[in-house]
Amino acid sequence: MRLFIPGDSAAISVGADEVAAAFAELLPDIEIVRNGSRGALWLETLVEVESPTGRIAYGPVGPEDVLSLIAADFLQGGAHPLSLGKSDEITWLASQDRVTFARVGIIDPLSLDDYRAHGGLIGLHKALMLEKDSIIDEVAESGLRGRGGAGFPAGIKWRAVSQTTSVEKYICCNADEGDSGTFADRMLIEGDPFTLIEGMTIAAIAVGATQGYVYIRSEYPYAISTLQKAIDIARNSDWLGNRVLGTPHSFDIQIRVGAGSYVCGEETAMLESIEGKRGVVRSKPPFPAIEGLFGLPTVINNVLTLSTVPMILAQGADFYKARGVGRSMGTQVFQLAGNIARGGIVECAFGISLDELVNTYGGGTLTGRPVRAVQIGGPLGAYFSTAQFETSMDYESLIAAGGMLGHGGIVVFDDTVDLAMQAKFAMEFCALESCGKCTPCRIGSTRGAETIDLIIKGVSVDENKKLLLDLCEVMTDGSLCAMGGLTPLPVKSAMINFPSDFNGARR
Amino acid sequence: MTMIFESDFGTPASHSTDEVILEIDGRSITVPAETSIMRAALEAGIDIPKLCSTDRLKAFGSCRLCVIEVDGRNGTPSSCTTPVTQGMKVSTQSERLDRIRKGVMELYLSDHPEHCATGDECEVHGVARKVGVTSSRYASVDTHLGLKKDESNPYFTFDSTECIVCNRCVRACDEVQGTFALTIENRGFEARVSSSGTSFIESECVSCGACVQACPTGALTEKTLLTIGSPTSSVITTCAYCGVGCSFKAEMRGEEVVRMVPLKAGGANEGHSCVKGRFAYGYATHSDRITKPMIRNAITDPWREVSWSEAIFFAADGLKRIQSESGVNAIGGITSSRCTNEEVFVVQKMVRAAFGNNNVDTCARVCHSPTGYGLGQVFGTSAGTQDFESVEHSDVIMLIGANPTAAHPVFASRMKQAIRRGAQLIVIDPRVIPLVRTPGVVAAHHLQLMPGTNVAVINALAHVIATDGLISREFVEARCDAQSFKEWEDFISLPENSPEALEESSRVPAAQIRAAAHLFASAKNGSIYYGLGVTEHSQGSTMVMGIANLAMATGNIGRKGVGVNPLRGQNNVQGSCDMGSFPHELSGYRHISNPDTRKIFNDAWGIELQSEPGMRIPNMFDAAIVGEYRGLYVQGEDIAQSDPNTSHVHAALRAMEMVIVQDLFLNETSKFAHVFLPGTSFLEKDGTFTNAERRINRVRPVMKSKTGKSEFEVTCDLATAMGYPMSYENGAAIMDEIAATTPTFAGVSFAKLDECGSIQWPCNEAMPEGTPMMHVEKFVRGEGRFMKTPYVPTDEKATRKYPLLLTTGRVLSQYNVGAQTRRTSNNIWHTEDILDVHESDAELRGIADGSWVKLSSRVGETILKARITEEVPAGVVYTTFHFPESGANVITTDFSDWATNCPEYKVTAVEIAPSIKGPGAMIETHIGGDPQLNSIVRMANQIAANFLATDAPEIKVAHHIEQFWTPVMIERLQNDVDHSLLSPVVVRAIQITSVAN
Repeated sequence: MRLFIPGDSAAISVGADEVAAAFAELLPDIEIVRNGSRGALWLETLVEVESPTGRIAYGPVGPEDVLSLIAADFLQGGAHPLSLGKSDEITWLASQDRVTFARVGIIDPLSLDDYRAHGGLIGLHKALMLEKDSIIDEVAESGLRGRGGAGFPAGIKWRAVSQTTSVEKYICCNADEGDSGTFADRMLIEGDPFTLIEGMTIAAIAVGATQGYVYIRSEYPYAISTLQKAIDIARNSDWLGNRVLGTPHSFDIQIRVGAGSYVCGEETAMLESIEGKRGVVRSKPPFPAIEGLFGLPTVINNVLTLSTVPMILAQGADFYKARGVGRSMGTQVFQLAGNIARGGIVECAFGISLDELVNTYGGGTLTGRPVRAVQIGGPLGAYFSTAQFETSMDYESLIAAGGMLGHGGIVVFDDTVDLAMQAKFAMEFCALESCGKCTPCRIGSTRGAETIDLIIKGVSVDENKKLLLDLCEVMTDGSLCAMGGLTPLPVKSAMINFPSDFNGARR
Repeated sequence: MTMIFESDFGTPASHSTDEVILEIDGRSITVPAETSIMRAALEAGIDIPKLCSTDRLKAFGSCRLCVIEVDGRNGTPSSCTTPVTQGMKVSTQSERLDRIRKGVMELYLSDHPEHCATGDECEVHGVARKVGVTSSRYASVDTHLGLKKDESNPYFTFDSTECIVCNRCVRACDEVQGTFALTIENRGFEARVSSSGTSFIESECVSCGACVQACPTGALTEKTLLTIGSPTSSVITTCAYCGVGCSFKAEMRGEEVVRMVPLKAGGANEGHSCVKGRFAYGYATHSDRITKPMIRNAITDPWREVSWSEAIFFAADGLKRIQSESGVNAIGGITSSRCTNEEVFVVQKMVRAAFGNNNVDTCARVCHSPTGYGLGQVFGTSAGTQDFESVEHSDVIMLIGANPTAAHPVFASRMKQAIRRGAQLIVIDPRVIPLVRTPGVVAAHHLQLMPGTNVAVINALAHVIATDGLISREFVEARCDAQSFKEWEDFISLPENSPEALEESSRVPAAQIRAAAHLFASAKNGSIYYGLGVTEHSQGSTMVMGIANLAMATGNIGRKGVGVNPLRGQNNVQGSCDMGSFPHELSGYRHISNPDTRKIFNDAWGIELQSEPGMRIPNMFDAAIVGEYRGLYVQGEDIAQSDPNTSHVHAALRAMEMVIVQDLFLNETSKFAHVFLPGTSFLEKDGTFTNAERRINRVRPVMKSKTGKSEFEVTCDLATAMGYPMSYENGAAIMDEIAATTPTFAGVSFAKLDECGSIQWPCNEAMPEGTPMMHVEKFVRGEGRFMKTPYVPTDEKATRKYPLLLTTGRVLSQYNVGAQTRRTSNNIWHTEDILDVHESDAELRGIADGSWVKLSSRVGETILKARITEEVPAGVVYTTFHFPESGANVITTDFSDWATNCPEYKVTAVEIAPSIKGPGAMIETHIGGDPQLNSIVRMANQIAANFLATDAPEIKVAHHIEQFWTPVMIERLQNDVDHSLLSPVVVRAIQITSVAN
């Protein structure tokens, strides 16, 4: 019999380590597995008991509940106020369509046996039997797009790198998950790190790379440590190294830890940072696929993109592209955050409505007040009003609605929010996090915040609104990268969708 | 006069040979592939506003002013970072582009002073006007307008309030200079240019000026621009410091130099500069300048200012009197490598025609004379083989006895960029010079040899190449003399030349030599660069030949990226040698004994030249001490400070009766002079300098002569007063005479130089545009001749009394004896000469870092401050010689190169001991006996030792002596020397010369 207590940092932040310690002390003979989180964050710490008919869930469990759970004979499925029944039957989880996150929360993240038992390495084994181009074809056919936010088709990117003649190429995984309200990369790395390693290995074989880097933000110490352990295990199991699973392929991975800069999540700034330089954005062209890390061809993909690849190879492109709508194929790992009753990971096919995510899964606000605004896609994403709640959650529909999907983060605000303040915050965030290279972003963000401040104070409101819109155009069209280019998105969407907040008088 | 502007095309030129046709604003334009849209437009005369781009730096794309639209593409990419593609259609103007540009300029103006201190120098307001913006609508709550100026650098200010964070300075420091002193601190709105967290003066900054040059605003500005004001005229001229020979625009306001701006079109420097050329020109107007002639009867008398004519006649009278008393050969002259070709040519002409003898030598004697001899022997001409640009095509660079980051900084930057692009570096030097390991550069091998063992190392390298089958047979067979190669191969393959055999003397591990030899021999393009660490040795000439052998054996001659490249010390070392300054040869390296050559000059000058060589500088000193040489004309060289064994030099000068010094300042030599003829600075000269690449550059007067005369005029006046009338209308007329008498210069004229910018000799009918690369099809002498290079250890050995070896060098900020740089603000970086001592040597003697030590050799002693460092190996100490009070040459001996008498500055056996005194003590040792005879014996035996490995060495020795010695010296060798002191080879050689005579 095993007890599952998440070792995920979200669970740890609400006391999972203390819960685990208490159980370990009182039930010394029971094996405790520190699994990943199932993503239902409002239920953490979610304790699960293995039973012949499946896992039984209890949550949210605090250290103070341990004695009563034991008293209730929870190991045998005894009744308890915190009992949630069978884990697989929790609607919030059962109704999701987990592909990328299929194993997260279920397996022991650092058990290769567990990984294999749950379908791990099938994709890589398949890839090793395919021609390089066929691997890329499969990925392209699946419709998988970059989950970091840009949504660029992964297959096309891989093909560009594959077609270069360089002897050395690189696979860089972007795990600098800096968007507000996002945590999927972290949870995946902490809950199923081998999937990422497998995805990177497949990418390496497909394009002919021999070295991979994972760039993880320093704010993710647990993810760093879990991934490092997983890499070490993979190396000791003849997976990473000179002969990948006994084949002539050679591939290894190193972790590079960021230093707290948001813009290092921008792919070229990330390359600079990995090279040991200041995290400053590069001009494109040349594109990283041609001249990337250390000037050599480089695949740069987000954690989710790469972690979806093994499943695509294992199950086939058709399995994946059967999901979704239009050109947004497969599933998206949405992350519900902010003022929300039931926050966490919701992975489902593209095309779900915003309302379903916020209200059905999210259960409205945590404060119980009405939802007023939702920001989708991180700090550079648009603010949506409840009038837009029927929007289909896919790349194209969101753009059509004046927003963007980004990394799939959804941050909910209740009716106390002041969108002018949020717009100002967008500019302030940009001012703080801009790399400082291009003028529109470097100076524009500060001027933007100052101008919104004047609007809030009621100073020359019309002139300043005009100035702000002019600035937004310069930043959108003139900025070197998406940092400055997208900062106007939250600002303009707030002005358009919440005009009453910009009339110069505080609400 | 007007201002000269160089166009800026925004991004570097593409070197692609493919062509791309595109359309910009409806015009069809053809450019090389990989050209940026910006450059394509600007070259076609289509203006695109820009601030962050400049054609010396890679495109960066930060200002966002140069945005354009491309048909069929989304967005508004920056034209500087977007390359042209076939058939693309570009629009540089549209309403959207206009809005972006205005918006960007408005943002710039929102954090920029309304009025810039440097006026139009700051491009921000100009570009703003161009895009139609004059002010900003923003409230600008937060600005950087209150930041403090950094005025710590003596030459330029950093005013962050004007800075637009375009990174041009940071990129210039990286891409042009390669020092990485500058960076951007912080991010976002707080991103600011920073000299890495300290003030400029405390930073790694080497004050090359690349950042100032790159700055589009007044943020980085020459202080003189602020104090003197904007320039009103400019003149293109050539720097007078090192042998790189950088071209500059002297920007003037009236008679005052506002600044020296490196010229992008300058062949040697392509827009780069160093702290000396860029900033340290203030000596030219220093109050120490002597501008009136002065005379005195005795060196103990005070100087008397006199008229030019009185000074000239006083000098001529003195010289004539000496000649009437002691013969025509009792006087002579020394030409200066700091002066123009024209000035040098005129001085040697004066000596040969007006003095009537060949007693002319040049200060190149003490630096690169072995280069002339060695390369002449092997290749047939006395010059480096490449242009500087060539290094950018090298795969492996061997750097021997040179410290380019200090001594040839602008070339060092090129070399560093080549290394950063992947070239490998092999350093052969006793010291850990910066290029062994500096940001962006790590040498593949540092062969840290003991001073004096160059030949051992080059032989060991060649031995490995010969015995490991690494010789480029194809090249050798096609290009080199087979007989000499066979003999050389047999010689170099001897076990005595193996790295293992030579390890003990050189102290370089054999395995390291072997690895370096393989690396060099395996290079597609291997080049060798060397400096005075090669030449200033008792085997300087042998080493030069060893280098030339190595280049031939590995097939590294005659194309880009290869070659043998002496890094010349002085601005015009090459030129002064070319101009016939050596006592044994006339201009263009033609031996004085050749009657056909003499006839050219006899006819042109209406005289009868002596057919035997005259005295070299050390011969002059020896002869002076024995009373045979009594009058000397010294053009721009401070021999009393810069020549070795100071007390010997002083004794010689004191023995003379008419010492004429032509210089800018009173100096150590003028303390012994009877006539001081004020000279002119490079800013007043009209002539040419020839740099280390054989590049003849124009030196144009930017101001009137401060003495009222040009220097060559003074020389001509003296010649005339001596009874041989000389006069030239201008520098151009002298060059015409040089061209008429010198085949390698036949096609050179001022008119042609004005047209081409610069010319690399030979320039004649065969090569009318000059010769960037030599020996392409065949060597100047026909087939390359391998020379045997036996390692003959110097007699200057570490002993029990003098257990350490002293070697010398230079720093970046000071130049040679410091006559110029010490009279500039460069002193801020280097105020005194320091003795570098290894920790173990210091500990053994109880010497603390920063304490005074007494440094003594067998000829003298001085006191210096010690620095304990690992830059020198144990057993070696090192100092510079920039300050006269340091007396570095009090210590050095009169040992010299066997072939050319170039002093052995780089090896002196010394001892050091703690001292309580400050600087000062110079000890005049007694010069006794017959120094001339002693020198003759030493020189003859040295020559013999270096020919021992050849067949019939006595014939070679006899020939060598006849070629380079004066008749008097040969006669004394034959008659006055105790033959038991001579090597048997010399004795046999004497018999041959006696028969011949």
